[in-house]
Amino acid sequence: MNREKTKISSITKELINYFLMHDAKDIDLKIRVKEDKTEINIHSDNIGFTEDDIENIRNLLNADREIENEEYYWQVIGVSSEGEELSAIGAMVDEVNIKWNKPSLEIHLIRKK
Amino acid sequence: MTNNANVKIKVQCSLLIIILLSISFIILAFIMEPPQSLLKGLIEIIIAPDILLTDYIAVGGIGAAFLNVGLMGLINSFLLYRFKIHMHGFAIASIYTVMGFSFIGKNIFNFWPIYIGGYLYSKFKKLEYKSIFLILMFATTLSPVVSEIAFGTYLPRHIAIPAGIFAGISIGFIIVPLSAQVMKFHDGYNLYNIGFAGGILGTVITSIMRGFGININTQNILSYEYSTYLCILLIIMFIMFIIIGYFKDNNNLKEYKRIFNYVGRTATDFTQLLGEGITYANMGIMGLICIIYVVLSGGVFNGPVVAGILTVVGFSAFGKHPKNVLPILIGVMLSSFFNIWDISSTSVIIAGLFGTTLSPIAGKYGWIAGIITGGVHLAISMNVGIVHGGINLYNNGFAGGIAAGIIIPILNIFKKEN
Repeated sequence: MNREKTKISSITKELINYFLMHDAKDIDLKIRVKEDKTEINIHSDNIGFTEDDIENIRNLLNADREIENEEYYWQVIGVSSEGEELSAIGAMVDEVNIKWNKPSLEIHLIRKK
Repeated sequence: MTNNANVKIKVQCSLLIIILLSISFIILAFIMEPPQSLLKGLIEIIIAPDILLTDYIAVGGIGAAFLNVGLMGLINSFLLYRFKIHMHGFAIASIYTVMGFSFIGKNIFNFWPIYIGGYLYSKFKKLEYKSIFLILMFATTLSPVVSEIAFGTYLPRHIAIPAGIFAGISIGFIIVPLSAQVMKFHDGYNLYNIGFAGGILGTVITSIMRGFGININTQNILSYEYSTYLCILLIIMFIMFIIIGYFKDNNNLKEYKRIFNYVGRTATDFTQLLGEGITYANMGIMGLICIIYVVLSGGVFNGPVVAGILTVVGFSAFGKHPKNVLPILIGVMLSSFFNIWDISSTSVIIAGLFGTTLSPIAGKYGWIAGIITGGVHLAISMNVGIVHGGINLYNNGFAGGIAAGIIIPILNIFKKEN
């Protein structure tokens, strides 16, 4: 697998870990690989999130894209989730969209190439 | 997304602090010694083999050591600026680590080949050089390989210097994928991951060199006469960090305690999570805690100790805070009471300071686990230097990787399933 695909795989794995950690009972995942970008959409209709969790996840994911950290960060995400690693995902994507309607959570990420 | 205008201001401020710090070191160098003496000292620093522990204050004098630190800070600041690197947690950790180790092994000659090797790797793999530059800054942990081959072997200089440069370029070329490989061993619980990679690579290099009859052994060249001076200098620096943090934080640090909620595993960037104000205050507080630790241990402030403190301070923007660091320091202190090592020796003190590389273990598994981890780390760090002969400056990163790789699976046995 090439580097870009490995990074997408790591981001996805981290998100799944995070959803499972918060007792998601169902998870839908969709990855769209386009020529200029990759879109990742993860969604659960039944997740044990609180308002604090939402605030936290917004805070963690809303980091700026940081190419300078990417080669280091992708090595740690998706390995052993504490939740803090979501900030590393934030640094690896360009756009984040979070929809929260208790108990439903949807996260849409866009990573440009 | 974070407001871009704010980010630009942040970048300028953090870089400016490092530039001012570097210039301060250079000014102090010229105040303390005349230019001829500085030049002579700097040459002595460059031609020293740099094997652990080589205190540049003892090798070239305090003025030349300060000059080297200041120049290393300025050169690397320029490169960070040139590559438009955001001065967030990882970048802050890298520049303070480089400046700290410019007291004990990194100098204005021996880091360049590693950067060149990394550049060739980025071209070979069609990567942006910027994307691996921070890893390369940490990879200068193996800078002593360049100096050792260039100036520490029986080879004639016209062969030894190109051979040393070639070795450095080779290290820069392979260190990025190697660091990715070894991260899996400790799951990011060893913050000095490149030190672990450097330890493994250093072991291979030392083994090969020993096979050719080139003996590399650790050494102990230390200074003792500037302890109070260095201590005062550091106290001033860290109080200034706290003041900067206080004024940069919108809530006057009232939210500082939020930092204790973080485990601190690799990629915990406090500048992004809590803002620059709390980050700088944390850096200052952690610096002062390190000073108290050295004083309580009855230690001396010299090159290696200052290197340890500056590294902790840098990583206080990237995972370390009092709650996850104190158990490790206590563990090292307690274990040194019961074993053969002298608690006030520089080796034990830096094992404690650099042992905080394992602070995420305390952050995740609690105080008792942290204290035990500190004790285990001390034992490992006092023994692994001989394996790589001291050419890996982040010896404690190497020891920390081994400790974390063993301790984490054991702690997970007792972890409650959720």
